[in-house]
Amino acid sequence: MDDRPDDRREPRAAAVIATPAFTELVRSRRRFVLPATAAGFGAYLVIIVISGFTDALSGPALGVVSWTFVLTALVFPLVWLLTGLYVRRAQRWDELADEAFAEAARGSEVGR
Amino acid sequence: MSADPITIVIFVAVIALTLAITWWAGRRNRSAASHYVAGGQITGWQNGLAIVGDLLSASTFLGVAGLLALQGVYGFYLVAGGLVAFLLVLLLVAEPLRNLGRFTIADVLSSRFRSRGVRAVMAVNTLVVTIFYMIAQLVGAGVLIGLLIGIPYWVAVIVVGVLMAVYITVGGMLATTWIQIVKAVMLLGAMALLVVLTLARFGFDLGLMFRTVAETSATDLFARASGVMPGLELVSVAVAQVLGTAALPHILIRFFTVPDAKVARRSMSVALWILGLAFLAMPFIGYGAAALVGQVQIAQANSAGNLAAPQLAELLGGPVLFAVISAVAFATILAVVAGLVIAGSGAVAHDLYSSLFRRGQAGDAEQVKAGRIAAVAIAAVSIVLALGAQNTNIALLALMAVVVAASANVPVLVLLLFWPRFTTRSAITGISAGLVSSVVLVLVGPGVMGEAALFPLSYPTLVSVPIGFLGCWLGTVTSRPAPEKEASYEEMHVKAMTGRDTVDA
Repeated sequence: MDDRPDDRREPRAAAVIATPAFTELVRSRRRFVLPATAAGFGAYLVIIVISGFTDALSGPALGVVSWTFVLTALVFPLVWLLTGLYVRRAQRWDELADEAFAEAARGSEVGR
Repeated sequence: MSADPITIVIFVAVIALTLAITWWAGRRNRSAASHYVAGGQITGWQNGLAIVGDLLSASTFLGVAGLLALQGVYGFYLVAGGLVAFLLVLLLVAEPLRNLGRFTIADVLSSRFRSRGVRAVMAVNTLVVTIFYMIAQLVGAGVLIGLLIGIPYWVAVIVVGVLMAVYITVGGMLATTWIQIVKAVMLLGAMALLVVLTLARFGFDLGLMFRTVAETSATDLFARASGVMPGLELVSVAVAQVLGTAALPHILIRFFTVPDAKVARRSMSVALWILGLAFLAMPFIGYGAAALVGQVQIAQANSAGNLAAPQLAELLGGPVLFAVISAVAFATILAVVAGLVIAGSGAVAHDLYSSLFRRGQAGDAEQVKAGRIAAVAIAAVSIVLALGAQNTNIALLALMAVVVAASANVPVLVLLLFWPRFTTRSAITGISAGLVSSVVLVLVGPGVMGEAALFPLSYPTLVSVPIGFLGCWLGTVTSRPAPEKEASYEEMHVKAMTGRDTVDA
């Protein structure tokens, strides 16, 4: 953001990428985002594929309500759970981004 | 249905409210940034509600209620797909988009590639998606307003078209956002009221309500009726719903209206919670209509079931509630078309005119003027096309928009952000391959050609999205190995992840 003090010079992209904090940021993000995407999209697709090609989920689960309806309804809390986990982890990623820039700036001062 | 005086009064009140918001926003609408992205000063809650408003279009609220009432769980699959789409937006693109873009989706691509061709292709793609989607909304609006208050189709289309041009030229993105927020709150309130009144009819006994639905409907509304839609078509529709919704330009540009990635994240979190609750309310409204109004009466009023929710309102709360729900549906149409016009006019004025034709030399005032002229032009073109398309199936037009968005935008955005070997040429070939293959496959599919279709699926996403990815890959392997004068992947990668600039080496 623009409201940062001016004495912090912008470092080079390669210097930021080389910092341990940035490596950790990218790895940690990927380690959460890929499984979360697979879980959310995957759960939905599995319900759709099974319901589309078979009658396995057509039977009643709760009273007159079928399994396919109940499972689709359960996608909602799954999405909320993944949203909550993402938002909580993202605070750590914000810190790592700050660290990466601070480390890169220190590194370039040492090099000069 | 003839116009009840109370309906007319409430409709006029809704129009007056939107114009008041526009007038208020117009006094703040001075610079290009305020015109295109509300100055980037929208808060997380405001943007979250506006995103909810964008996705809760008339076709979602009225269309899904009708689908649930007449065809059952199929409508529930669609809203669940919309929610999953937004989860993917949060996980994969919301923060990088905020960090890289300024006014339009093409800006995001230009953060890595200085090529003018990339910007032009992306702008044209945005325009195609937006226009298809807008004609669908306008035709739907004309038919719906005709059914609700009995004015002729052409009058309704022109009124909506002129109103949306006024919103954008006077109030820009600030007006669009606040109209969307106000409408979202009204619609959510109306939906909550419908759910409570419906449940009250069954003594707040869910089991009783669902048993009544099962006993009174002709088919099993809770399970997928076999034979309604082949399995492969259902999967294709679901994939289109998830990927297409996640890539609609008028929704993605909402991230440019917030100050930074943290607010973008918060707005998606707000949107996912509220949207989930609203979507979970849909079965109560749809099934409630089936049980209380009756499937025969719903199908008689409109064969697609689009009037199920207003009919339920009339049964539960008489002419006043009918008028309120109808007016809220009308407000929904106005708000969504306003969002579409701003997305389309951004592509024309910012990408094609200011960046390409004027090579970035246009001053601030000139950019605002270009945005206003583009908005009026897009509104005019859409009115003319919608007047000619009265008897076109609106589901087909919306389908075209969603499939093109999924096929042309998803491969390019994903690979741009996460694939270092992606090049200028990959972007151009990828967007072109996705755009052309999706349009062609829809045209030769059952949606257009019916029985004589050359391609078996109405929603060709299962084929056209891979073609989009293939196009990107082909562009990459045929690119010259020498690095062009472009921002490096590293520079963009750091900015996408952190939102901060780095200097060139």
